[in-house]
Amino acid sequence: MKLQDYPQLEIKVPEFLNIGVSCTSKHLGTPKEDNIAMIIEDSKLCTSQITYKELSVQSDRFANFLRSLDISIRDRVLICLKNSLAYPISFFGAMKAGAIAVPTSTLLSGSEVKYLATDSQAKAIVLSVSMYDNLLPYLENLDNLQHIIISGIQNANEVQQPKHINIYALDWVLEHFDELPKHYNSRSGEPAYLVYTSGTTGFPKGVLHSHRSLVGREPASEFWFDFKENDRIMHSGKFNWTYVLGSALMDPLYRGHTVIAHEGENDATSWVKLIKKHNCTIFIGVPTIYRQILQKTDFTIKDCPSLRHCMSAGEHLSSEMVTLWQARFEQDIYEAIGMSEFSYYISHSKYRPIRPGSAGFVQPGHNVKLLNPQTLEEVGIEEEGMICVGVDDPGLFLEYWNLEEDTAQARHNGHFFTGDYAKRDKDGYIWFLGRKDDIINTFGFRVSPHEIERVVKTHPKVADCVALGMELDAYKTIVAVAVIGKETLNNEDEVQILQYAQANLAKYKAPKMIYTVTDYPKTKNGKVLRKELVKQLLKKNDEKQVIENKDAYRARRSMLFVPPYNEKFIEKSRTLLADAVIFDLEGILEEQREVARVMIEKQFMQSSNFGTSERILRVNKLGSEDLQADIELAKKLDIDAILFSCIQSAGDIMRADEIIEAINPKLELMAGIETPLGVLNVQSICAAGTRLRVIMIGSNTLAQRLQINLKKNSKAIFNYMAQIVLAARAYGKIVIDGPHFDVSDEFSCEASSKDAFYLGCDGKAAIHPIQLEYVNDIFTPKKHEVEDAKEMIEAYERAQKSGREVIQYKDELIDRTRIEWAQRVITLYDRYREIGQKLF
Amino acid sequence: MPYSQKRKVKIMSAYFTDFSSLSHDDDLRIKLGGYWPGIQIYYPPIKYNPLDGTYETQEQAKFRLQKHAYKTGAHTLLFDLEDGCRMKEMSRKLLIEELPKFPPRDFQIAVRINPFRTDEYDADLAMLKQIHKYIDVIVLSKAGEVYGDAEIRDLSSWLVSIGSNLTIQPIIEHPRSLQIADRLMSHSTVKHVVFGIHDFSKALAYKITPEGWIDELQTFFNMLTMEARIKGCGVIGGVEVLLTPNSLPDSCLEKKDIRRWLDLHGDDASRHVYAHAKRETAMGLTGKQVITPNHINICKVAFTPSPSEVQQNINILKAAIEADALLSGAIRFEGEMLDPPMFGKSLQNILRAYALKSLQKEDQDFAMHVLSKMPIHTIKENWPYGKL
Repeated sequence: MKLQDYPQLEIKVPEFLNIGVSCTSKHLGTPKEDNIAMIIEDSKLCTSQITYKELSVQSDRFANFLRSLDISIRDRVLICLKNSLAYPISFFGAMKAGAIAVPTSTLLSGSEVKYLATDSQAKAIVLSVSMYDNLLPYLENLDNLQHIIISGIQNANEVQQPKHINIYALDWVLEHFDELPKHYNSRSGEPAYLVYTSGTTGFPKGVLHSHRSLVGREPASEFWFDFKENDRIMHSGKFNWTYVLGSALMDPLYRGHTVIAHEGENDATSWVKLIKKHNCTIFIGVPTIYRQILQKTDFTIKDCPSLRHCMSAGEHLSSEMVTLWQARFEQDIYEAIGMSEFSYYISHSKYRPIRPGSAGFVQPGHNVKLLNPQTLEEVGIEEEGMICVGVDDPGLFLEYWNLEEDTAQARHNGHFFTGDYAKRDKDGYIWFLGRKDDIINTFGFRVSPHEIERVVKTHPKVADCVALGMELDAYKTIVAVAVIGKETLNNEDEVQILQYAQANLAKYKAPKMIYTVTDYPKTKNGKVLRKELVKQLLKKNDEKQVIENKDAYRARRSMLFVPPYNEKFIEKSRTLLADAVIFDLEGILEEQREVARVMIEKQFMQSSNFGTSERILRVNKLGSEDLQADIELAKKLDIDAILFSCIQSAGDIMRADEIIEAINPKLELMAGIETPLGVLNVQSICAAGTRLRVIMIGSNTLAQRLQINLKKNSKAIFNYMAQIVLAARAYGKIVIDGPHFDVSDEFSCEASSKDAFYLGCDGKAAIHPIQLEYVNDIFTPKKHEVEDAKEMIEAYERAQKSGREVIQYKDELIDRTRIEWAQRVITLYDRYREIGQKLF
Repeated sequence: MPYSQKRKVKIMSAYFTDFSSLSHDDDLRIKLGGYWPGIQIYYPPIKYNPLDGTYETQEQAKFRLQKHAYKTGAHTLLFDLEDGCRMKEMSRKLLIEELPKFPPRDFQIAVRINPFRTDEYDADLAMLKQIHKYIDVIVLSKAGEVYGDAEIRDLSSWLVSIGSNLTIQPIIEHPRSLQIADRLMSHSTVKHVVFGIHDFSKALAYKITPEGWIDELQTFFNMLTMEARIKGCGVIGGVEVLLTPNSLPDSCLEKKDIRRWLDLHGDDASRHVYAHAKRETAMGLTGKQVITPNHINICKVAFTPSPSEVQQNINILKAAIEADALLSGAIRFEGEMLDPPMFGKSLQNILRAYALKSLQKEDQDFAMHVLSKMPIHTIKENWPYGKL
């Protein structure tokens, strides 16, 4: 089918513009003056409405009132209101007075509102009376906040009087204040309103918009809304949400239409009933609302014949939903995507057929490109790129509030980096791939969760689906889906859904795991918290499996030998920064051994908790008299592994294996190689048995047996160490260098740690806590190495898509093995950070 | 009391200073010559933004000042009105408005003013007249190059005329100034001089390198430090131009930590800067100027005795006092034979920590205890800075 050309549009930004004036007073003296601007359907307070003329007068009164409070230009006014007529009055009124309006969600807790009030340094807050009692304790002692304006009461005396803060009743203000317009004649680039992102991580951050954003959304009015004269818009959202602020408040009122909004309890039937009641022509809702209407009601277009245009935003709308809607309501749902920084700028429109799954087109008039964030070059057709917006686009926000660095970081070379990834097909449709964080990286493939969700949602038994990457270990992230069934799903259903997905998706994209859930963790605006969901599912996952997988990257940078005959040493080792503590029954005097066993048992009886440290018992040599007593002790202890010293052959490993089998089959086996024979047999040692996990190089003892003086020439032992490392690596074992012998010589201990690190060991043992810091540090990947590894992996993955297996990265040739190493660096870094030991 | 005993007491009290009666820090400051300039960070009042070729506005400069200058980790915050400052008028305005608003601080404030008897110099003095109360030190660039030590004399008497007790740190940045260094240092307002290595080497037509300048200028360093020692003044070392991408973490105080950081995390530039600062410390310098905040910590730790060093020195002195060998005799200490010159060095180290504001209160008391046991000339041999 030949696609029709888009009409072009150029946004003209006037020198002076005030959103408050443009959406209210501008209509005075026109035929729209007496039209209804807004109708609020409140489930408790019934219906209320306001004409443009009334809205203009009321907002002027509010503006004059703010001025009387000494709220000056650019001061912040927090608006924490439910959907009500007070909302447009205070929102537009604040901007008319030149203040910056700060809409916040009514769902926020007291401490969250306090955070926003402090961060924005608001001088005044407008809030609904129902919230007053809850919020007051949080607002009372803020230095900046001087005034509280309460909506829903006639007189400020009706409520509890706070200290050091003035309170007013909004209704009283709107009745008594002067209505003479004294609008602030703002330049279009001046700040107008400040919205806070929902903040899925950390604290919410403020996004400051200017008055010009009003005309910056003209392309949306043109291409997403498809406005016709005297439209009546039913909006299901809350005004405080960025996209609702635009699509329910500013854009329709700027053009003189009528908006119908709802407050209070609702169900799936409410929306269609309201559309019918108010003869609405346009309906705007989030996908969940559409799903509810389709799944829980039998309504068709006959129940709301006035409806002619439907719109959705907020999250991705499944194509199944669009098809069902088309069948029952005989029209499309036009989807748009946007963000707090740049309201809905990509959308479907009547100019081009909806291509299910695609986000639509960049609205003409906007300067949006898909760029490769590294090279800043535009990507080609069907290539993944970051959505970037020209910083001169009038729809774009001004800055992150008081976050200079964040603002600067998001801008590169004249572009704002949205952080969203997408690709463009040959006809210009944009296919949203998700946030950078959402994209699943599985076996070197980058998979968009939306693509998988789109397919899985078309299964007849699936009501909703979220696709996730489950990281089993550093090399293994697999695609999983968390599904809400239309009815309860049994195992058979789950298998069927997986098979269905596998049949309809490329092999690497198809989910390998399925979880049935009843709900998803969501932000207050209803966005699914994917990371949180992964956490929850991992918890549910077979715990044993998780522990085993985690173990592959168990921290073993430093292993501290603890002489257990002294209770204080054992006690102290609970608090030290060692990744492992080895209770050494072998390297102590014979007469100390029995005492040591008693002490260990006593300490473990008190508590077997040694923090994150791995607990290892070093038992006496195979064949020695003491071994049996050590074994008996090990049976009573909650430990992780047993270290056998002086392993010389594969036969020794087999015997050690048997011993562990008898003690506790879950324990791991660690072997110390410290004799020339052990070095000669190291290959067969590493290959033997099933439990051997760690090889420890007993370099001191080995040096003595080889008659090497380590003090005079520390390099003389290198050759033998290298052989052990080679064999250990060949059989996938962890290899640890033995402790440095001279506690007082810090320099040589540091040098020997470096030697072990550069030889490729995973860690080093220590005999004194003083040695731990340097040892931990050298085996911890450095931050810049991690950043480099991440960049390298990204570059490699991009190249892989074009079929290359080897790439050049910063003068280095990179292949799969190097990437595996890079992934290991990242995983280890994250793991060590989790442990939270003192690092630079 | 027999006459002979009376006389002995009298002689003793002239001979020794009674430090034990001192309880207030201020007194000790005068006796010991006050806190040292330490690490002086050059702070441009109005900053240039090379990206878009503009200067900060007054408002932006004020905001930056409050954000960064208020909590500097340096010993001295040095506002530059000379070479590094193009917007001089605006900078002065900023200082006049903002310095009085500074919150209580634990560092000195210095202002580098323009060369003597220039128009900008006069404007700088006009500014100082208004805000000298909020400043500790004037750093005078190109000191003595045109009018000799009369420059210091004039500036000193002007300071007296406005009732100010500011001190002057002349910058020796020309061979001519080095030649008259002893005269520059003979004024009571001068307690430390700055060795301006870059201008100095330029005037000398020496080519110095960022890595090797200490060796290349060693001779002149020696000349200056010797004059300064005779006059009881301190010398402030040279500015490093090597930019270090990393900053030494605040937690690094002990040698072992610094070595670990430099070894595993630091960059070559940091290693050079640290090595230079150690050399300057070894030469007994009392401070060092830096031009980037990343240099502050690395130079600070090089200049300041670490807590364990201080403890070690205290242990030595305690052992000396215990053996009654502080003034004569010798002791064995951890495998070394130590005598009074070595005790003097230990005392110097402790006082050095004091002068760089890193001595704990109880250790200060101990230092006073040791000083009270020493005759004045011995103190002066060890510590030439104060007024005894």
